[in-house]
Amino acid sequence: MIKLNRLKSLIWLRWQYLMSNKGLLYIGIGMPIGEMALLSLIPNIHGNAGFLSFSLNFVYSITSGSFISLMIGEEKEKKNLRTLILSGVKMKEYTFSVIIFPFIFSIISCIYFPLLFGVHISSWPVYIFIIVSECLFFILANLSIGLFSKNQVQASLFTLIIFIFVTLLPILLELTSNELIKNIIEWSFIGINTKYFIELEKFQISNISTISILLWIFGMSILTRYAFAWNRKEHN
Amino acid sequence: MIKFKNITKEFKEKKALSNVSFNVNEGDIFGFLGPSGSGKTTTINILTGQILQDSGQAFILGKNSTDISSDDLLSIGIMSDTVGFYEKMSLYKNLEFFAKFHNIPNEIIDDLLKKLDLFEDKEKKAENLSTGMKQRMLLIRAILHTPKILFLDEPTSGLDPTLSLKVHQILFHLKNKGVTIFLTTHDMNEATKLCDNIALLYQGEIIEYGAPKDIINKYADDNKVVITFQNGKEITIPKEETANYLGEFITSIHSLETSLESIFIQLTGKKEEK
Ligand SMILES: Nc1ncnc2c1ncn2[C@@H]1O[C@H](COP(=O)(O)OP(=O)(O)O)[C@@H](O)[C@H]1O
Ligand SMILES: [Mg+2]
Repeated sequence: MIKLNRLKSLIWLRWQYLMSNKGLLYIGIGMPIGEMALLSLIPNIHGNAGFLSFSLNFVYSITSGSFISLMIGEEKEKKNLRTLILSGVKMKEYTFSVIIFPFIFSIISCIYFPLLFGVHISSWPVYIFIIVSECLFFILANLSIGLFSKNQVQASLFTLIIFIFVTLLPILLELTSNELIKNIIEWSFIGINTKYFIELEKFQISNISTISILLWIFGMSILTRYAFAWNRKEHN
Repeated sequence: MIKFKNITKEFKEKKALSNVSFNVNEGDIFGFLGPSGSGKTTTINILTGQILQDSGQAFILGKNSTDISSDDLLSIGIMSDTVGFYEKMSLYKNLEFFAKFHNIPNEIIDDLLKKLDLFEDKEKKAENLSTGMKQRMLLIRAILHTPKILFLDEPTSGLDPTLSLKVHQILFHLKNKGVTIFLTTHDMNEATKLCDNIALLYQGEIIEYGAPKDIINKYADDNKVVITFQNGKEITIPKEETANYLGEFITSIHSLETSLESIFIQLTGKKEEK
């Protein structure tokens, strides 16, 4: 059973941790927002959905990505995770407390960027559904990466691989008419986001990529649970 | 409270524990003694479910150690090398988290900090603390919530005698509250003073086990004397042979005083490296 005081103490801990690691806050939150703000100063960018898509990939890979994997990677390297587990911290309590801040900051950034780039969003509920599910997926994936990595370096390496995948796939999609690649993208975790930016106003929530992102999130939450339990024991 | 039954653990061809068995009674302070590399930390890791033994069974809190749940862990305190802290946070914030987690007032932290001479340093960043300070911080962390079972891996190894004494007082205080304490040390005098029962561990095997007094009595030998020669040489011989040495340059003759330390040396033929 999740006890409220334990959850509150873990959130308090995470906040103290972030306050004492401002560098991480800068990389995770400041950098994407700062760079996009600079980018938005370029003339003719205003209203360009392509730039919004690009900036969202940044948020997914950094605020929902590296931010988490760097944090958890360090947590493992310094034996903090083991210490928390041995103190009786439960998987759900831990997961909630480490994802809450990256999640909030990711969503804020994703909502801010259309305003920054002056991109018209035809349906905010649809847009919010997409960013919430993508952020959640990336956060859980990077949490698992962090939990399975030995240290920060390993964690960043895996995060980089996802980043490359995320940036290359949409480009690949534009260059090819290959059905197989189209299918792969549709079923991939970035499918719903990619499709949204191709179809824009015509995009419908009810399509394969919606089911696929929900499946990805479900899969990642199972992986996270396993990754947490895996850390209870020493592995050589 | 703690039961270790025929445990064997091997790491890549290196046997860390071979067929080790012992029991710890509720409310006892149990000392696990041995030189470094003898398998003390491995034993704690098995008991707390952090590593899996190759054979044998370990029980704590009436459960197999592989089945300890996160709720069970709430009533266990652990201080060992596998425990970490948040380096960039202050000593105090590191402890404050655990107080909040266990719903314990901060006064308890303050009290323990004062008892262990850390109160003045509480705002220091944890990474800037000396080894001895970190050790005391981790000790406070482990005992803050008055666990049912407390595991301490060499709690006084980096402390000066005055601080060690303060730690001993705290441990006695916890024992009075009914806490079962499993402690490893390579300080034989500490073990004699603190522990109800001890096990002497050597190269992964228990070579002696029981109450410190009983062990000392077992090896005490009134019929032996120690002769120290002028050249510094020392021999231990039966009393009746003393006469054979009387013509030599002797500085002292006294009866053999047994300590756990000398028993350990006697049993292993090896001087404990400190
Ligand atoms: N994770 C490990 N991998 C390989 N060997 C290990 C590991 N942990 C301990 N050992 C070995 O097992 C033996 C006992 O170690 P340990 O229990 O740490 O001893 P102690 O705590 O008494 O100093 C040592 O020889 C050590 O090198
Ligand atoms: Mg050790």
